[in-house]
Amino acid sequence: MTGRQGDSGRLAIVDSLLCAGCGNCVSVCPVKAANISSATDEAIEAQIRAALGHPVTLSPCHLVTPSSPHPVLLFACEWSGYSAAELAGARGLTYPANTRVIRVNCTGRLQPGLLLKALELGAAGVMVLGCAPGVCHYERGNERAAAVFEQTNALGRLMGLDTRIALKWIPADDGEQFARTVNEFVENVIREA
Amino acid sequence: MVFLDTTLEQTIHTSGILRCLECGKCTAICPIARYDGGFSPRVTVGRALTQRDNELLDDDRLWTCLNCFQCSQVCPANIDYSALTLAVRTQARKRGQAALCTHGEAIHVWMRMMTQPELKQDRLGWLSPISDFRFSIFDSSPATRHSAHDTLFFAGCAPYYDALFAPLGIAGASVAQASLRILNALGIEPQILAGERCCGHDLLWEGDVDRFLQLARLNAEMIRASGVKRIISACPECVRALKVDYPAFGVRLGVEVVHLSELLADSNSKLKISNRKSKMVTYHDPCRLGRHLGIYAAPRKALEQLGYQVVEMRHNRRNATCCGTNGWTHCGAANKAIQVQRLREAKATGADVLVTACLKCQIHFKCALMDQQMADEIGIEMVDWSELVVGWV
Ligand code: SF4
Ligand code: SF4
Ligand code: SF4
Repeated sequence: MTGRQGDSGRLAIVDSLLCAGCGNCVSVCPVKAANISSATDEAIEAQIRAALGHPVTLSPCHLVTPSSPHPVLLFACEWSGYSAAELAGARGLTYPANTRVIRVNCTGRLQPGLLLKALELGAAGVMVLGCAPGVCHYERGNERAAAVFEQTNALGRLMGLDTRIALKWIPADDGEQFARTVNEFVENVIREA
Repeated sequence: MVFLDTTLEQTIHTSGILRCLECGKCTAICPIARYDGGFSPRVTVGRALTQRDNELLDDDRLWTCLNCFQCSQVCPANIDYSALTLAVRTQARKRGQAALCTHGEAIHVWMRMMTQPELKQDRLGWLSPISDFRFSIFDSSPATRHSAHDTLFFAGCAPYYDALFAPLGIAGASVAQASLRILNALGIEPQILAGERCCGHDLLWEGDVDRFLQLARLNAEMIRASGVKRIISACPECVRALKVDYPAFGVRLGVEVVHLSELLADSNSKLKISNRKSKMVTYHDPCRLGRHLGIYAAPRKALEQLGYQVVEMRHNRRNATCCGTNGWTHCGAANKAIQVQRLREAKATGADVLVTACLKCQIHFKCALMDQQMADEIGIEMVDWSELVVGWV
């Protein structure tokens, strides 16, 4: 990212050597000035599309055509939710087959637009799985995730979709909790559908 | 403005660009051109005239125009530049081009989702905190149609903006509440649509005519079924869309569409002139209410009758500068500079309060003040027009 002198006379410069890779800057910035090459909006959207069976060719915004509903998408933090998912898999724990896990650097990287777009594209439900308060790998990414969830959920409520959106904190070493949480959520989504 | 002809070829005739004198007044007054040297309405007109279509359609900058109508207002040849913009955008979308969305596309996603007929919204939460409102809710079932209530209050998407912009301290719910309270005080008990959709304003101006029409038809169907004879809204974009754009695109509502301030101006007698308030306020004309709909005096009059001293910014009424951003796309350095400049003008009036009359203007201004240095220098209290006027009730 480059800096540009704004009206305030100050210059924002990013030292990429210091970047920890959480991607929270991308989430916070309303105008896409910040980006992170490993997890661009386009890359995450491509994963959402693939998981929902859409052609992955990226359409620019506004050109989305929704298809039939189906899988529940799990946006899992690579340090907690995703580890727990792997552990659940290794232990042979069962959770519904219609779930798809999308790994993110940090749940604070997400944005209401990405989560809502998953629903727009036909996801039956969207769940965010991040680190518990106080143990975020990036210190405060989960606070950002909570704020993003709060906005998404408020928007979801207005559209009658809030039962299809959830946020849960999952310890990295708890495969059982992962499986239980996902089972409960998917059951709830099916019940409310 | 002729909208139905959205092919470029036709728009070249209907927008009047054949008359262009190449005087450059448009570019001289354009707020975007002031901060982005690469943007020029005069050059765009020239390109459209020389039929260099692809160059025109593939230019990123075609998405940055605010449709603020500053240029068309000063054009000596009376050219409708925004008709050209709309036509160019509509064609460019067909080539797979699109505007760059702000806010991670969240706003566009909800606008698009509202085109789904089966969507069941729960958008009336703003009504519940106050028990003494008088209104009826029309949910499209004949039983909820209230024939004595012949006015519809079109609330607009304030609840959605509250959900996304709570961190900026945006309280659209209180704008909607204030508007309803004003209506009640004027003796009007309106119907409110439980399933109201986005009016489609932003999608239209981005050239997404198909989705605009889907929204327009969904709203029109509910409005017709409600049996109302008049629609009142406090949102300048909703009024513009319902009053001008729906009929221009063949969606006829057959009812009057009025901005709340016009209604108040007509009910003069009910609004008593009160004592001078200690507060000095300045009023920012939203482009859609001002240049698009020609409503300048009514909102000011209500403030003055309430006893506020209205002091004007350097650019006001017909010459008011845009809040700098439009349609939740392409917000960049030029847009921020426009906002900062506008806030400087507001600050320079010495007013205690900047009165906005469009929730979006307030959101963009507050966003510009997120920069602490700007907040220290040009921070000013912002209140929506209806929230001030409701003080009279
Ligand atoms: S102001 Fe009108 S006549 Fe002058 S250059 Fe612009 S479009 Fe042409
Ligand atoms: S409508 Fe406004 S932003 Fe667009 S070209 Fe004209 S003056 Fe510039
Ligand atoms: S000025 Fe408005 S559009 Fe631009 S980033 Fe801020 S809130 Fe978003």
